[in-house]
Amino acid sequence: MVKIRCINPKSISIFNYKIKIYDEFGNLIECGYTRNNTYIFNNKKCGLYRLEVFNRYLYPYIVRLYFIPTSNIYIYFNNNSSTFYLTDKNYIGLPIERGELRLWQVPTI
Amino acid sequence: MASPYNITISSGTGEEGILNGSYKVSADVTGYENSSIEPTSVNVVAGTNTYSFSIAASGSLTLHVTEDGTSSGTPVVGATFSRTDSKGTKYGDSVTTDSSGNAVLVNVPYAEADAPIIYYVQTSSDGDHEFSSVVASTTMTSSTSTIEIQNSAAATRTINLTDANYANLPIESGTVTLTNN
Repeated sequence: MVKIRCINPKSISIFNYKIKIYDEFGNLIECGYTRNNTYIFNNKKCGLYRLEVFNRYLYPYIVRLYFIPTSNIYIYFNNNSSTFYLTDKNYIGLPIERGELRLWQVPTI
Repeated sequence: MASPYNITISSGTGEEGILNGSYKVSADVTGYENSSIEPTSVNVVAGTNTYSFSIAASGSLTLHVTEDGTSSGTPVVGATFSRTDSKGTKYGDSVTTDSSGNAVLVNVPYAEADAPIIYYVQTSSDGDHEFSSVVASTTMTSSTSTIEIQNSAAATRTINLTDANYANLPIESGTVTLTNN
């Protein structure tokens, strides 16, 4: 058994990471989601596998790697670290000295 | 979900780790019209890590220029001013005093409390008056405000012209021209 653990160092949030595992011949053998950011892979045999991890909210969006299931796997994601500029609309380029922007996520259907 | 994200802006910039996605944007900026924030929505996507917004204010700052710096003084016509940041970098169009000596900086911030500092600088006078080119600042607690600015008339100077070879011998008539370097 191998634990595939997905880690976002900037957040303690639990994300649903999508997991796909292929055998050495490229056949999809597992497809599912993490629980508590962890996926348990019960490998039938020791061999070379290909792992794909998806999370559309994080960077990188997809992680692909080959592994031999001998030890647990840790995969690191990051939120986008973004810079926001706020300037005066009527004095182009004049920085706003202090204030706050609020970003409210729009639910996707 | 971490939304909403509160991004603190300091000197025009803020930084935050944001999940990819679509967001509505609102602002809380003292002295500005928060409803004027643009754009009002943003898509945060992988690979793009800078996003720009702008916001408008609605106050009017009148700079009244006279020879003695009082509201009833002789107006100085044609003096120009620009809005700046604290370091003196100019932004926007310059404004010029009219026949009453008034130049108006529009769309400047104001607030009853904790109003933002407005920086401005005089960039010229009418050619007959002295002026300070040092960056000045003020705050506005109401939507309109007037600042009295003195541009003194140029002082009368005495110019002596003598013969270089006969010390102190005055030159009877002639013209000396002084040109700005």
